[in-house]
Amino acid sequence: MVSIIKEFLSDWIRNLVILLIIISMVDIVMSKGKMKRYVNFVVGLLIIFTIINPFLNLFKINMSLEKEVSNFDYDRFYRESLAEQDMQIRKIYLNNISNEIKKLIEEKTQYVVDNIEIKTSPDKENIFTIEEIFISLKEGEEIQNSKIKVDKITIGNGVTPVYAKSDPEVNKLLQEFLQIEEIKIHVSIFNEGDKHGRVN
Amino acid sequence: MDIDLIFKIAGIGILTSILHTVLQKSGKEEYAYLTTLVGIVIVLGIVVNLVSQLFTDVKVLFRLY
Amino acid sequence: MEIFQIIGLGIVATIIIVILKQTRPEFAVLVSIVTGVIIFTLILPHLAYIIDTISSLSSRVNVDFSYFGTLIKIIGMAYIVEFASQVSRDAGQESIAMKIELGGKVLIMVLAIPILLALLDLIIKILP
Repeated sequence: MVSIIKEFLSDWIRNLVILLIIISMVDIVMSKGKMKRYVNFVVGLLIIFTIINPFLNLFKINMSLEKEVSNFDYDRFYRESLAEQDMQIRKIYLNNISNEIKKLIEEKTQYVVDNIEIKTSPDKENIFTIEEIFISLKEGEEIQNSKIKVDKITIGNGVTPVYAKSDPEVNKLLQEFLQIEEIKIHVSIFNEGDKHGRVN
Repeated sequence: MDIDLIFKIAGIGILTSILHTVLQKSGKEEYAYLTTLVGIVIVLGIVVNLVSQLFTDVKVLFRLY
Repeated sequence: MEIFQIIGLGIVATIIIVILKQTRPEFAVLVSIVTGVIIFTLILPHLAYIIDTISSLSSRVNVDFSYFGTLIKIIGMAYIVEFASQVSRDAGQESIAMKIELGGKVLIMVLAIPILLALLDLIIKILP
């Protein structure tokens, strides 16, 4: 037991001593000036690694700096960070479009937006196109009263959208706003009662 | 790659400046500038050669290739 | 002794450059570059000896030090960047000197970043 500790310590101290000699030599050889700081930086990394390494062996973690350095794949690193960026951009984009749709519908029509689901598919160059939009609307509450009034006065007003499943007005509005083909927009309007269940 | 190289280049420099002044004073300005230019080009050729040698040496020494 | 050669060369070159600077400044720049190159070439064998010693020492450490090669590269880069930037500064072009130094610093960092990341990985592995 004691011999193991002794061997460990002696190895470590030997490594440190050699490292110190190397550091001094590099220090002398390196000329003064702005560049010296960078050499010192890298040498510092070396020092940290040397000091930590024996403890690694102690904890039986087989770490090889050489493998890590040579395995450092810049391309993969770059691609992964690009992919993450893309995902974030997508999220923000979808959020913005949902908010815009919500505002538009609540201004121009008398519905209140319940839920918006946008399905996208990635295009070439990662610019995605909107595949389908599922929107579920509810009747706006105060406005419902006024609509009932209108119904009373004008008989046969055509479509009373209270129980209808879709409203072509809303579709047209959305299509104009988003510049997508009408087929891709699915609007379902529910009453207060039934919230769940999409019947499209 | 000799110490004489420095004296050679210095010599060319001084010669060029003398020629330049002489030609200027005798009225032929164009020839003066032409001579200067030629001198510079010659020395530049030598220097570029030397610097490329230096770069090769540094590359080999510090294993920068 | 080679040190006398180097000293003599340096002093003579300085005088020549001062003379040339008044009439033909362009030659002064060229002479200073040439002097630098010649002195460096004179030093070269000894510098090689030192670098070889550092290399062999580094291989005697028990630890796995493959990135000593990178360290040597960084030292070399620092040398020539310092040389070039000082020549520009002597010729009065401080801005070009700064740009050369900027280039050198960026490239050195590029070499050093993998080492840094590997070290961070190492440290994270230790921490529970």
